[in-house]
Amino acid sequence: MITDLYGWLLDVYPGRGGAMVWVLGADGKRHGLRAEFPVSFFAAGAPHRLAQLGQRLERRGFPGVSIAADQRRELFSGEIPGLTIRVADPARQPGVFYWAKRQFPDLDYYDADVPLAMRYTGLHRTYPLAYVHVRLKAPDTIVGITPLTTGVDLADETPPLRLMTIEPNIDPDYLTPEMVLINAGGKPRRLSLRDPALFVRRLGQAITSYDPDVILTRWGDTWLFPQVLDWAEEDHLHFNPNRDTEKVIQRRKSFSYHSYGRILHRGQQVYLFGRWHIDQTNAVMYGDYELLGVLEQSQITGLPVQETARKSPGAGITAMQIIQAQRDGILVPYHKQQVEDFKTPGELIRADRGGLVGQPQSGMHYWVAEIDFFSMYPQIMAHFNVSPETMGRPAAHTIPVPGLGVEIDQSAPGLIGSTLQPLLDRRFAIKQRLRELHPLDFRYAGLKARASALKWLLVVCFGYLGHKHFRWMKIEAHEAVTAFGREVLMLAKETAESLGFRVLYFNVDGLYVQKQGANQPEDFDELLRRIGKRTGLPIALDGVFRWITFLPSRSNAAVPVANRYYGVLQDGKIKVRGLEMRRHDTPPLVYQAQEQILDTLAGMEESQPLEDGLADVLTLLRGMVERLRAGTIPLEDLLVTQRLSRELHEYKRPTPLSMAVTQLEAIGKPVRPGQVVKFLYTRGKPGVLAWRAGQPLSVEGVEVGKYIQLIARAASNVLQPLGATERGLMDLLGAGGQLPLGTGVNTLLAQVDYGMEEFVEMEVGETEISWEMVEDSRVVVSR
Amino acid sequence: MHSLTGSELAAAGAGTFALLEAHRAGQADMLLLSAALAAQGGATVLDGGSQFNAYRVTRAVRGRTVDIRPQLDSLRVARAFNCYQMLTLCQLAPRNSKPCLALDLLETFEGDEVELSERMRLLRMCVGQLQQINRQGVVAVSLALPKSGMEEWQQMANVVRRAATHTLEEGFMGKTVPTINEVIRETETILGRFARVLPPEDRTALRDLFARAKKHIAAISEANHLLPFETVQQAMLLEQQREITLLKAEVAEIKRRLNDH
Repeated sequence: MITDLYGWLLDVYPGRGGAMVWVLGADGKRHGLRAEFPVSFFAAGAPHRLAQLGQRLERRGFPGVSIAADQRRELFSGEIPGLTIRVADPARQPGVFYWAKRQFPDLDYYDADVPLAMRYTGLHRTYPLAYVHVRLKAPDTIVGITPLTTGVDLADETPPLRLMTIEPNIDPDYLTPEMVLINAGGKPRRLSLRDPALFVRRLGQAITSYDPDVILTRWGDTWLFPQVLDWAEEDHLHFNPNRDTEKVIQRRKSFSYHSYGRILHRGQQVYLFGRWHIDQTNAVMYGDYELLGVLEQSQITGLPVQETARKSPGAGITAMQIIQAQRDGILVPYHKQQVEDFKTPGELIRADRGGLVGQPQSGMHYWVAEIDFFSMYPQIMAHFNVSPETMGRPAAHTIPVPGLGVEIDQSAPGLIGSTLQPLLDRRFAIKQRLRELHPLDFRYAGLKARASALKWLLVVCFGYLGHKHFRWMKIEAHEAVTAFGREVLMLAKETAESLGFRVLYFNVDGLYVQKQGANQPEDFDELLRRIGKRTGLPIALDGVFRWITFLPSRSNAAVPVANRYYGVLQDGKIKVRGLEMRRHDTPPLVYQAQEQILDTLAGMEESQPLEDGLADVLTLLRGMVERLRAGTIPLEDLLVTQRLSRELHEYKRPTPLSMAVTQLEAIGKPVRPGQVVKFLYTRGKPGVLAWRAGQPLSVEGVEVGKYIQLIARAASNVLQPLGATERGLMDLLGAGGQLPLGTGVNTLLAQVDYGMEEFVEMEVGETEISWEMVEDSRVVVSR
Repeated sequence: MHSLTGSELAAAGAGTFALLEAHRAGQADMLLLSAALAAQGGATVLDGGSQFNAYRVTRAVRGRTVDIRPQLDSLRVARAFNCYQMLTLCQLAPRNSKPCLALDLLETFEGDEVELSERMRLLRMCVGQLQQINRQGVVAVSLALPKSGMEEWQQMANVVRRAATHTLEEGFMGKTVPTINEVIRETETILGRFARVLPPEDRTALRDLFARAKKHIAAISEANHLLPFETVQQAMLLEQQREITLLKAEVAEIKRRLNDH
């Protein structure tokens, strides 16, 4: 008998000879279902070798394997002949493929390493969290599954997930936790860690009785689950947090990897079956878009939720492309071997370039607006049909890539455009909805997180075109996108100039335009309309500034530098680029100093010269320095956070970071490249103390002078157009009065405080006299 | 194994398979070799480590001739970003009497994304392809010493060493296309000796010229000029012209005021 089930798709993985599918039923129950799901891969190459492969496979006698001569579509070459090798049990497919590859390495393989969840998504047009109609042959075998939602419509209902949070009472990297805090359905509990065996039992019971869909932890990957499994093994206890109790926890090793020129580190990972485990401290970009963003990315990319949380957005883009290719009947290559066309050096110089970045007009400006192309590079890929296979393909209708002499086929949508369009549409729809909602609306924050998650996918999709891991990498497609980008930006610039705007600065996909008296959004409507019409790409007003300051180079005030500015928007918000506030290694105290200076300047009347705010700025900096000297600033606010970029032995000279890492290694806490280390500047040698080194530190040990210097530098970067220098500010903040070793803080503080007051009272009215003046960097008011 | 000089290699024929092993910074002589071969009818360049600095090659060609275009066009370059692509490039490289250079051949074979046995198989095939090319023309291969994984690298380097008939001396390195900023900085360095001879006020003026040119980096980059410093000079002239126009306007204004009095 066939029965119907409606619900949301939670998880798909190989199991019980087919695919295990978990559905959160509309009836509120969690259903573990089984589906037959044979998978196949394809081999192509010399006919005699294919024949040999077929014979050898038959002789080998893998169970459930069938072989058929076939013709399949390859992205670049069209239909190609080969062998389709079908494996009934998806769990056995990798074994069959790797055997074939070892025996016949000279053949080309396709669809060979596509994870089961992606195959399932590709075939049934489902996706994680899709609302589905399942037809069941009693009791739990799927005979048909149909998605009832598309994943693009904002009106889709979100499933009523059961969430359990688990976290220790302290960062286990820093100190040994004493208890674990559990919250299931709004009911918090504390479990003591004093008796590990008891803890293991209680944790297991808590998970079983609440039966969560999501276990959201802190340090769950790197501490909680590995530790619990160790304790369980020691005491011969049964502990299995999976919903699918036939499965054991899947652990993946930690590793370091390169991404956008940086080395990053991913800690070991713990995956569950039938429910999800997400470790906030080991998830990518979690701080940026949280759980809702993870679910959004998973939904739009088809990548399983637990993978989405732990992998970079690039993995999401790859999943989308693979799923799209499967739906279009295109083979997914195992190797990436499409190569660059041979070029002359001149052609290489023209093609191998990035986005266009102008040099800003240094100084302070009024009546400025920032206008940005909406997801410029993805829009270019979709609008101009830039895709690996459309580059240089002869067709009736083509368009040239500006300046590169390559034509792009426009006759049919390319793989990339087809992949990106739903993503662009969904993000556009979310952005539209956000515009309609009040920021205090309960839906606003969630939509914002979703928009942010989608933004990251769009950000990385361009880089992936030229990435060595991209399955269909074709460098010419990557180069075409930047060539269009440069042309589009120039068209926008020319349009602005033709309407009487002055372009103060342009940077890849955005322009800062100025026109006397233009300070309302509608003053820029005509400009946006004309650019949109001329370029064919959507462009929007990012904001109108009350004023904006483009900062020159720190070493030569006559030289402008890109991407170093701050400005105050009409709504009072501050936009900052290229200052300490934007750096990840800046201690919170220094961040606060810079933020408060900007807040002070932003709070001034528009007619008031910025110099009038200097007295207030000095007062707040003095206050900060006084608290620093008094030891009333929490040590956490003084932490410098840096990422280890190479192996410790590769540091030729000791740096504060390498010294902190050495301290950690000495107490048995090794640090891998890509891992983040926090440390404090301390008095005496070696001058730093690693935060995780575990030894308690009193405020007297802090190197106050170093922090004053950091504050002075951060302040001077903001106040540079007013003639401020780091040295001048150091003097004003009394950095000379550092705490000598072994002296009581309070006594010294009194001395320093007196000195400071006298000094500042004398100077505050005449700040210009005491500061070094840099003639060329004086404020340029273009009003 | 006999070590060749650049000119010996440029003059060599089929059957000469030369190998350069050097640190990354020491690979630049392969670029100079490209320029020298451009003057002799051209070459095929397979770039495994994004080493082909087109500006540097252009400057080297410019040092030999004013009419640079035909010589540059005789070089055909393609880059590989993974080991499978490197093999495909070796298979696609033309079989003719023109020399074939493989820059930083092992770069795409490093790292553990592909199993070592598979990388070794691909590398042997690459070297086999290069040996086929070598039957008709010179082959020169450069290997950049790795930062880590020396044991694997040596194993792979041995495959190439076995095919080599000659060795080459160490040179310099560069990346594919330097930024305009780098070009300007490099030229400033080159002009350092020129500046030393100048009196202080002229040195300041020279520094000012460079600073002003840097305002136009985007425009210089957009000009796509093969010799970007010529466009940098154009930017300097532009800045001077603007200054002249401004001064003229000020002089006119002063004259007008004087006449009003």
